[in-house]
Order: sequence, then structure tokens, then C-alpha cells
Amino acid sequence: MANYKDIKYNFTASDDASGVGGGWILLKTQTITSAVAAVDFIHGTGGVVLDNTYESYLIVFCNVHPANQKPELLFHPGDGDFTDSKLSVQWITRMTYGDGSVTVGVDDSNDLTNGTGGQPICINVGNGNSTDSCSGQVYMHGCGETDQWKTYIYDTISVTPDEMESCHGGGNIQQTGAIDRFRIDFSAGNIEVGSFSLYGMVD
Amino acid sequence: MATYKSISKNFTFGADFAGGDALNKIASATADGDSVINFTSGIDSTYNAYYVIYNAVHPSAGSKLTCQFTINGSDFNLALATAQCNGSNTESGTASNNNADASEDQNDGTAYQSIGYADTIETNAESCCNGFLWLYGPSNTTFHKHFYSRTTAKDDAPGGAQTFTAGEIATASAVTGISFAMSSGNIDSGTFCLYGLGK
Repeated sequence: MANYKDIKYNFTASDDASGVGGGWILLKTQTITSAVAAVDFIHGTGGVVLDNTYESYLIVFCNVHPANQKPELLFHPGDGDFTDSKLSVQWITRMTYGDGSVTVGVDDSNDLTNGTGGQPICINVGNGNSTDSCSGQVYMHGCGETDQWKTYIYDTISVTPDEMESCHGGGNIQQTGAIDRFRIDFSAGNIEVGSFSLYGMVD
Repeated sequence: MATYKSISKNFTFGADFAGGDALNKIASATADGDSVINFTSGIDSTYNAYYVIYNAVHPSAGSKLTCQFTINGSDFNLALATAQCNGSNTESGTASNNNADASEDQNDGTAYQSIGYADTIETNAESCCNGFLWLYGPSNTTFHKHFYSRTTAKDDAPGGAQTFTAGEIATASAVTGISFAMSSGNIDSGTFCLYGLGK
């Protein structure tokens, strides 16, 4: 049984509390240590808050390692399922180890035009080396709005045996209903390890 | 001596406290003619992701803001694979958008990596750069680490410039520190704040 000393400062601050910080609120972290097909964050499940409590949400993922070689890491926001249509654009920077060449440019192969599949937020994530993985963050805006489309912005880095690649993009979720969930998975194979944290950003 | 009144509310929230801030300030440093600004403590397994904000960084010589990382607290010379792009606009209206800048990239190089590239940040009083850097999973001992920064600056065009830099820190050892320096000369002034994101 916990003693008083250990728990005396465990409490929930009220909405009107001041002086206790509270700009970026950690809502939930999922740490994957054995393979899973997908990581879901659903409002009301496992402590997740994903509604109009916050105008903006931040997802940070670190060292996500795939079971397969060079899949895309996909982001699926949704309002009851994970198939909301999206309209997005992406550009990349890439360092190719072999010849040291650098690529910067539009990557329209990963843009979505009313696409209902997942948004590729990391591409060519390696598993060829045990040190390969991807990291990054996704901002979601206006999830609780019921009259406007929602938006997301992402900046990520992935490492393969051949290259280091960084993706930058943004898009609309063509949905006026509230977004209450998102899923992250790979385009092929499982997520073997990685951490995923969801934060709410106080208005 | 501190009075009871002044310290009575000084306490640390419990592990299950809800409502606090997940953006935890770890340290800050104010440059004053320093050759480097280093953070060599506080980067560990406490947090998965770290965030550095740098403000009003002013050089002693026309130069770029750079960074490097360490696994032992003293040697900032880890192998980096980086890719950078820049965009700028001059005061006369000549824009250059999102160009690859291979001269600033490293392919297994161990030099300090430019993150605030702006042909050079000038030394006149109004010139400086500002930005942020994300460092992901530094304490992980399986994977290479990743970082991403974005910086805006007043350059010697004269004009404004922005820089995106993404990189891989090619070590499976835990990264325990980060260093900032100008590519030449000192950091005359500026603030650097290191934060950890609660996990």
C-alpha cells in the first residue's frame, strides 16, 4: 500500500488551477517492446483524451523500428474509424550514403488526393540494420471542431541502410465531424519497437 | 535564510500528478562571448524526446550556428548524416526557396553541423538567429539517434533566411550532450533552453 509521503502530491489540477504549469499535457505514452500491427489512440480508451479539450495535439514518436525493410510509417486519423479522406502535400530531404548525394524536393508520390489510406509520414524506414528506425512528430489541429476540416503537420526522420531521409508535410482531414482517434502503422509488417506519446497543448 | 512563507509551496509533484506541464525545462544557458554552449547533463532516459529552443543568437563574426553531440560529455565529434535545405529572401526582394545545400551536409562527417545557415549571420546589431532542435531517443542503446532543427536568421544578403536540417547521429551508444557553436568566432549573446518531453 502506498504511504502518504509517496502520494501526497498526486492530484489532478482543476481547470481553473493556476501556477502549476500546464502548457503541454502528456495524455498517453505507448511503448512498444514486442511486435504489434498498429498503435491506436482512441478518445476515452486507456486514458486518451482526443476531443475539444485542446485545440492542438502533438504526437511524438521515437526510434520506431519495422519488421519489414523500407515500409512507410502511416498516420490514419479518423472519426469512428481510420478511413477519413485526406488532402496532403509532402517534401523531403535525403542523404544517400553511397555517393553522398542530397535530394531536396517535392515528393508527390506520397501526397494524398482525397485518399482514405494512411498518410505516409516516414518513408523507407529501414530494418536492414539493427540501428535503423524513424522518429518525428505530428501536430493535429482542431480535432474537436464540428464545422471545419482538420489539419495535420509532420516532420520526421528515418534511417535505412542506404540513406537518411526527412519528410515534411501537411494536410487536411476532409471531415467536419470531430476527430476522435488515430492509428499509426507500417505499410507492410509490424511495428517491432518504438515509443508514441500524445500531448494536448493548452489553449 | 529563506522564510517559511517563501518556500512553503516549493515541492515536486508526484509521479501520478495530472495537470502539470509535459514540457520540462532542464537547463538554460545565456551566451556571453562563449566559444561553445554545451548541455552535458540532463539528457538521459528520463525523457524520450528533447527540445532545444535558441533565441537571439548573435555571433562575434559572420558565421553560421552549428551543433554537435557527445556520448562521453566532452568529445563532440559523433558521425553525422545530414541533409539541409534553405530558403531566403533579400531586402531587395530576391527570393530563393527551399534549395538543397550540399555544402552544408555531412555524410559520416564528425564536424559541427550547421543548423542556422544564412550565408552568414551578420555581426551588426540587429542580426541574429532563432530556432529549435528536436533530439529523439538519445538514451536508446539500440538505434541510431535522429535530430531535426529549423532556424530563421538575418543574413548578409541582406535578408532573411530559413534552414531545415535533419540528421542521423550514427551511434548506438547513448547520446548524453549537445553543443552549440558558431562556425567561426564566438557566440556573443543568445539564450539556449533545453527541455524534456514527459513520457
